Amino acid sequence: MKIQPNNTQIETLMRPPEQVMRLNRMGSLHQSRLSFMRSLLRLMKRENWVFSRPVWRMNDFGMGVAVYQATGPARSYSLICFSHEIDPAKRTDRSIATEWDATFTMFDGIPTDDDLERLKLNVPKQEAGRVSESELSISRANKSVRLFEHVVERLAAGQQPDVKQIEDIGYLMRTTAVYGSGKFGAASRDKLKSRPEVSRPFHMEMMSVYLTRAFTADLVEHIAAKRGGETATTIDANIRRRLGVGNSTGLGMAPFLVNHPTLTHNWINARETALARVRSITAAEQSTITSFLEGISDATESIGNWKTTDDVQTARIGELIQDMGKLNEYIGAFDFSQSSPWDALYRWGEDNLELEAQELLVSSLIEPFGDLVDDLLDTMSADEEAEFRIDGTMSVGDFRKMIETRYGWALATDFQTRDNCARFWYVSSNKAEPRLGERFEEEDSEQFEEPLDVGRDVSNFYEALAGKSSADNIAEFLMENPHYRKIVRRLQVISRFPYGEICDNLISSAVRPIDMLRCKLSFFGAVDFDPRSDRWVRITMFKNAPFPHELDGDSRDNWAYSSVKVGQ
Amino acid sequence: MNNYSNKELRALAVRSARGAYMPWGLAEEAGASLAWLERHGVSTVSSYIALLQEFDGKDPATLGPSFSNTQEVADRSLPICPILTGAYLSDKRGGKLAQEPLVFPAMMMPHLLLPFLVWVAQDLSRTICVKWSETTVLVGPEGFEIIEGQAGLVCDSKQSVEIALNDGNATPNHQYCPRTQVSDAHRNQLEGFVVRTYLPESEHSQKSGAGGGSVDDD
Repeated sequence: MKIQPNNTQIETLMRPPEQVMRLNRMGSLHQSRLSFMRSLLRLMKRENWVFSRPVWRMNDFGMGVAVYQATGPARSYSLICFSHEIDPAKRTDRSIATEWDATFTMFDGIPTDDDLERLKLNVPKQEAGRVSESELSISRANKSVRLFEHVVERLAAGQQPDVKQIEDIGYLMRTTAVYGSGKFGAASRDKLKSRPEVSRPFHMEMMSVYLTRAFTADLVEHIAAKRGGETATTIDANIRRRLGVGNSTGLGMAPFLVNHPTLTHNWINARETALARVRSITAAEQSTITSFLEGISDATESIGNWKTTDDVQTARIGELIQDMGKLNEYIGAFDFSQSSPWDALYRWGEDNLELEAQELLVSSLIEPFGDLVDDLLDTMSADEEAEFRIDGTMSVGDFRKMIETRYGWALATDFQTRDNCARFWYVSSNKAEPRLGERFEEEDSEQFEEPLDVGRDVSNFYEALAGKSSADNIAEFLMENPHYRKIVRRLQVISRFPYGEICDNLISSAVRPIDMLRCKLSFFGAVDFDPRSDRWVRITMFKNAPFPHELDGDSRDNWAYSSVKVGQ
Repeated sequence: MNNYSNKELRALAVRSARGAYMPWGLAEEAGASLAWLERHGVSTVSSYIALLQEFDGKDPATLGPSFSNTQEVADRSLPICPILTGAYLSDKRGGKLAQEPLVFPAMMMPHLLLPFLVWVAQDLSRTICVKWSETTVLVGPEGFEIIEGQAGLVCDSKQSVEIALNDGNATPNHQYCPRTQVSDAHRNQLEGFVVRTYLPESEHSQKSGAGGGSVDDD
């Protein structure tokens, strides 16, 4: 029987933006069944997508071109992969790189040889090339040299790779950028809006990464076969499953959540609504209890394998492991027959666990309730254009009231204090990527500062309204003060999409941009967050997921923390 | 030639407007205006560049119309910016428009107003008549129709512009154009504004950014 959400109760159970949209909590989010990798695979499995590899033109060393085709009920998409030989000295995750081990593009449909020739001249250049309306994303990846070579050597000798090394590193290649939606000549997202299979956020980019994973495993087996001849073997299916695709993500991604408040709201709102719906359930069924306990068990085991060299994250993982011990002990004695048991469990977590464990508990609580929450996936896109216009008829008094209600944290911050404005966001001339600078150490910090200093802008706007009549509408003020148009537009958007605002000072000396990265990447479905500084992080994607040829026969939906044996 | 999606063109237009010292919010409206016109088949990149050149570095607070009474706009030494004017009319949600025309004595590139007036026409569910020089355009909720001056919609000069509510109906016949061809010369001019918004990356930033501070050997 499908559980029906109790809408009145749900409203009261929603966590407020001031609680959820804090950087330390955002930097503690985990993947969930609403994450895009998982929703994509669920959709492709439900629709019986067919996968093939119509082109594989690789030399003995794995240099050449391959095409992976994914066909759903309505249309086909193709990942075109170019594999290159590069000077090891040029292999870098930094955005200034100009060569990569492999470069990719998602093609809308099935490419012809002419398309492949055209793309061969442009895709390997990445930002320096131009693609067309037929291309839907552009990406690149570098080998994990240590693991890639180890796997080739072992397979060529007829042996399996060392599982520990695979667990330690997690991927054969890591992407260093996946550009979608209207970059470098590629089609914009408008083209995909009416296609149900890719209309959800980042489904196209996730499809690209999913097929990239298949390519990396095929490539390593191809090279091993050529090197080892008849002695060579392929990777055991259970070991293969443990391979994900790595990713290095830096500040290029950080402004996204600030620059797309409607979309950010819709993601967070979906997750918060899902949690509230689960908390509103009055009685727990045995099947959901079993599923929840399995999920907690898998997550506990997976966290034990989470590796990082970052001191802060190491401490947090340590706390998380301790907290999972506490949680397991608590649920071992928990009375699931009590009224509103999921709410009771959540409340206990809020009182007794650190943020990492609280948010893992949230993801785990949502997990067994696909029937109750999966419809929320269809609320996670955004029509940003519909929110673009300023309503100049809103009064000065209404703005004052809204700022006082929603932005107390900004009004309470003294932005004259050095620490509260120590940083500034800018775009670097090296590769046109967002960067975080030191305001008092770098030149020209003010003139073209990126507008991510939301708290300070709100505070300045509030001050500028002083002396204005509350009854005046804002249109006349904006005509005289056009530099406030940005923040006025934002305030009006946030009044309708309150989870779209991060309630922290993003130019403070204490800001950790990786908290923003972690939030976004958790919605992608990433695991194994491995911060390399306070501003870039390595992650793994699609680890433990069924490969395209396994998708049809794999019944397990919650693969993210599960290294289940293939065939069992 | 460079083939841009509408979204990529808009992003380029916004950042180039910012490079011409438009404040961020107004730069977003400038980019939206260009993107709307290009999407509806009006080639505007050249005049957009001319607009940025005209207003480059000027204080935006001095570029809007000031009203000497309800419908009359004061003449002034600087030409009026169509983006600031369009944004204002859009903000007012039609509150400023009536059957009696609003007259702007000297506005640059008045065609850049049209997207804003389409939004206002949507607010009011009315048609708006816009006139400058030999050109008359009816603007409705679905788009615009050129009534007079077929060759003259894109206007690179300063014009006296009249805007008034109209009882007729606009019958838009523009084509949907998802892509725009931009010449190398125009791209370079836009990029010239864009690069002003970039700053050199500090050594500290290079070390702590993605891929920095470690050898990528795992």
